Amino acid sequence: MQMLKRLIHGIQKRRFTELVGYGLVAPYVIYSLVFWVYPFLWGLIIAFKKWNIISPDKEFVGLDNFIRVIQDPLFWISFKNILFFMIVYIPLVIICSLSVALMLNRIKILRSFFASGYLMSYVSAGVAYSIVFNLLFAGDGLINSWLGHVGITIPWFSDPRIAMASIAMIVVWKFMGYYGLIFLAGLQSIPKSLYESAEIDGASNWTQFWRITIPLLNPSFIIILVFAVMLSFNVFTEPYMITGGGPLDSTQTFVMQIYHQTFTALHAGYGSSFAILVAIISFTFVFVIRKMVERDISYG
Amino acid sequence: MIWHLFRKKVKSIVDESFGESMIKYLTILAVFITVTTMVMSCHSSKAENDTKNISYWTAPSLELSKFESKVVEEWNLSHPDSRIDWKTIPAGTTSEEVLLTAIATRTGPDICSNIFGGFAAQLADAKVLVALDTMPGFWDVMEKRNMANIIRNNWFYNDHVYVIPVYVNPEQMWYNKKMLDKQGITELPRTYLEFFTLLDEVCTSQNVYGLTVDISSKWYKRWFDYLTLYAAAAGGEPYINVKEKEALFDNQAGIAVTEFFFNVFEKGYAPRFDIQDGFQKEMFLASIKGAGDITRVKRMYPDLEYVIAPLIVPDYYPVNAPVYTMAESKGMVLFNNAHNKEQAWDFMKWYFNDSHDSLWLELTNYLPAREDLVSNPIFTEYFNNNPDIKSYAETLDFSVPLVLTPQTVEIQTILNRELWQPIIFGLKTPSAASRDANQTIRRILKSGP
Repeated sequence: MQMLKRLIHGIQKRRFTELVGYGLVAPYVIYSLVFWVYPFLWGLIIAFKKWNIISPDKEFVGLDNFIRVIQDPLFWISFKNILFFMIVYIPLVIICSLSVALMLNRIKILRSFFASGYLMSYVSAGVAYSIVFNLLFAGDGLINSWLGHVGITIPWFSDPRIAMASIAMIVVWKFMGYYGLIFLAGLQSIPKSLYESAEIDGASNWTQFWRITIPLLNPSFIIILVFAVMLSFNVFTEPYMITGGGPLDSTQTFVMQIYHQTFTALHAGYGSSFAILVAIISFTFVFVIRKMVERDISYG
Repeated sequence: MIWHLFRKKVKSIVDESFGESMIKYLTILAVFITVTTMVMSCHSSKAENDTKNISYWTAPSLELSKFESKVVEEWNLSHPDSRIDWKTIPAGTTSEEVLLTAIATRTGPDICSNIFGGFAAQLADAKVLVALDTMPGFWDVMEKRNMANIIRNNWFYNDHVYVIPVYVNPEQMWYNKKMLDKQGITELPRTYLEFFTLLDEVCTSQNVYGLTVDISSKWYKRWFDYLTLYAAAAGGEPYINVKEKEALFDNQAGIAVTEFFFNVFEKGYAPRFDIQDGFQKEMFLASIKGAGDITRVKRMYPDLEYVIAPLIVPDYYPVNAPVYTMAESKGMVLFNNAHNKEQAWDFMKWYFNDSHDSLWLELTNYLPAREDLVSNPIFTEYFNNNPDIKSYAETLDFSVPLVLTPQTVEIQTILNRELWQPIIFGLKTPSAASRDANQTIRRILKSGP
């Protein structure tokens, strides 16, 4: 009898513990269901429909929206712009953030202060800094007035050849602090003993950097590459606020098109199918990059 | 005593079963938060359903809010049974986007101001707006406010009126007075040829640009340059035939305006990069500006001296014909899901009256959309004190509104892509740009929204 009681008590206790476990993960699960799964499924459904957001009428159009996206010249213009953005942005952000990390790793005092300083750009509101950069880089802005002393005026945002590169530089400014901290964490996890033994073997700083630091930072590189690629496909605030997609569509991006089609032209179905195709391309890019760059790292 | 109990409890938790006790406390906390949230949200939604107030949203502008707050306060004092809950349109990228989201989630207002015609047409197509001309006493209000002809001529969409224009903002030419005086110029240009002659004379000698032109590809910017000069060049004729679904950009007026802007850039009278407030900073001789700019310019650049003149027209334009202009206009709509349409309509009828228009003009400096602005004595004092704004009021007989089409955004996006941007960078000839824009816009019109 005593054993039976103990068994029942044990089962009740385990059930209670399980329930508590479910209860603790429930907020995240509910959040994901409401804000991720539901919108995703809804987006998937309306991608096959013609719908203007406000009307209750939704006409089923099959794959029409997807075919129209593929035939839309702006889809391919945006794709080309994003590729150009990535070519400028990814190397630049890696160089800048790695420099930030190496600098922070070397300084002994006020490291947190400087790290927080670099993070300020990351936590700044996109709309606010876009307005500031627009004023700074305007034809008669501060930067051009400095350059004017040496007889140069650069049409940062109004020359179609360099407008996207200018946008990329602003995004680099925003993210180099954040990525820098990821690199810093990577740098600090590399055992000091590796550098000590390399020094004993007579390796120069340069050799240590290329043979120890860079290979062992591979996990950080992967994270940053994935973040940077995902971000490239999602660039919106800066070109939307500064150039509106111009000049000559040179700063049109996928998300600007999705936004324009959905909320301005009220083609929600078309916008949704656009978003799905962009997501597929983006995931493919991330998958390929991971396959190409990811390596197993051992500090042993 | 309490401290002793607390210490005992903490000790028992730490010593014996930290995990289990913690789990219990966390569970109680989670249950408490969940229940409280549910109770509070049920309570607030019940409170919202119970309210009989009319919700009213207006433009997020400081000047306009001064007026709206006074008017709403006046209404609420005299109508305690049908109070107005007024707020500005919540912050967002555009008012249209915020409203769409609100409508889609059924959290929108009963009445909304700051709606432009094209957006009203989109909303009307989606059947979310009340056809105001079907409401009792509609034409009485229009007659009383002296706006019946404005409505009849310009605000019918699908045989109904869905939006009552609150204000109009016509465009005119501004010239820098100091630059003109320096060259001893007293006669302002009427045609494009005369305008370029003036630029040749002033710009080279004074090392300034000729005309401020927005180079961005934001769709709404074309209201204030290309479409404004189109209205003047076409003698007030629209750029779209909505009924026939025809675009009219490659006609004589369309090609003339395209050629004009092409030459402005080609001859270097406008830079191919953005200069903030270039006219106000006295870097440009001329600019196209609306009545709404006057107050802002006076506040921010009090030393700027300028002359206001009618828009320039193509060389073929008859000398004695009136010069038309385009007037951006925003208005008020009533939503179909308004829970008390009669009371909301009562408020709208009450809103449009002489004393409110007088107060509106004084507080906002925007021109009320009515036909008797210059002749009505209630505005005389204001116009005597503000002659610049009066010069805009005098153009209202020859001001045309935007074409009422639900495809406004698409039309102007294509205009940017096929015409505006290529002529800025000299990538197309004016006739090719006009033809391409016309063909693409025509295709969009025929395929429907």
